[in-house]
Amino acid sequence: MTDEYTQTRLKMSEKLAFIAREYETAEELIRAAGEAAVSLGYAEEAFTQDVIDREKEYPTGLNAVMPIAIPHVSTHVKESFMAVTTLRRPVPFEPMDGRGDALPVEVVFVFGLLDHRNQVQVLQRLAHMFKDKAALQKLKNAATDAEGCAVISEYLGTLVEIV
Amino acid sequence: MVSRNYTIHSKVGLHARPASMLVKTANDFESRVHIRTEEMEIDGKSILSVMVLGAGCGDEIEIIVDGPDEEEAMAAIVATLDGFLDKFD
Repeated sequence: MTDEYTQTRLKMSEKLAFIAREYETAEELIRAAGEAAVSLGYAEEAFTQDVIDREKEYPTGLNAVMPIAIPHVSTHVKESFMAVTTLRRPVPFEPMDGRGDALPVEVVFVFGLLDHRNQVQVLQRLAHMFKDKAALQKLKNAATDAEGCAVISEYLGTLVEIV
Repeated sequence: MVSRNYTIHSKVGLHARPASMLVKTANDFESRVHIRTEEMEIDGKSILSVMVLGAGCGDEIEIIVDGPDEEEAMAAIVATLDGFLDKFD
């Protein structure tokens, strides 16, 4: 299904790729991604806390072909962007559908959307990747931020704009 | 089996949080829940499937519920969808 908002592209760069990192908590992970977005001028300071608060109220852990999470908001965003994190050790995220315990997540997409009406299209594109085991495995196997960025470009090239 | 056509009136469509609420409601019932559009039919109990569906504002979906508690499930799902307008727009 398409509408006038399908053209949105999310800014992404090596500075928003956090590959093979270690964090203790979801909050710590979101903070790292949010602060990078702020320093790149894609979000205002308040963005990071917005995502942390929203994640507590409406968790985004998702049992896809592997457990992933998609913390995101459309507040205090200056330019739509996406940050990607892969983890050496899983970090617990509560499941979005409320089914079962916290998920041991190893791949996380933190994103900010300038216009919340873009969400459905963005999620639709992301969901296709989340069903693609080879794609997520390739991302998880990436060893450097540059490699992670390249995988995103390969699988989400029409959704993100690598800058 | 019961089925019902429903037009999404939420301006933001079935994005992550409304989709998760829909899926949670569907999972409260024993009946199978499917959602059909012109393009596809998906499992209404799977959050990922609802995201893939990509239902936006103005899109019409068909809700199909089949099982022992189908009437109650349909009523709850429609009430959840109706509630999106207040919560998320």
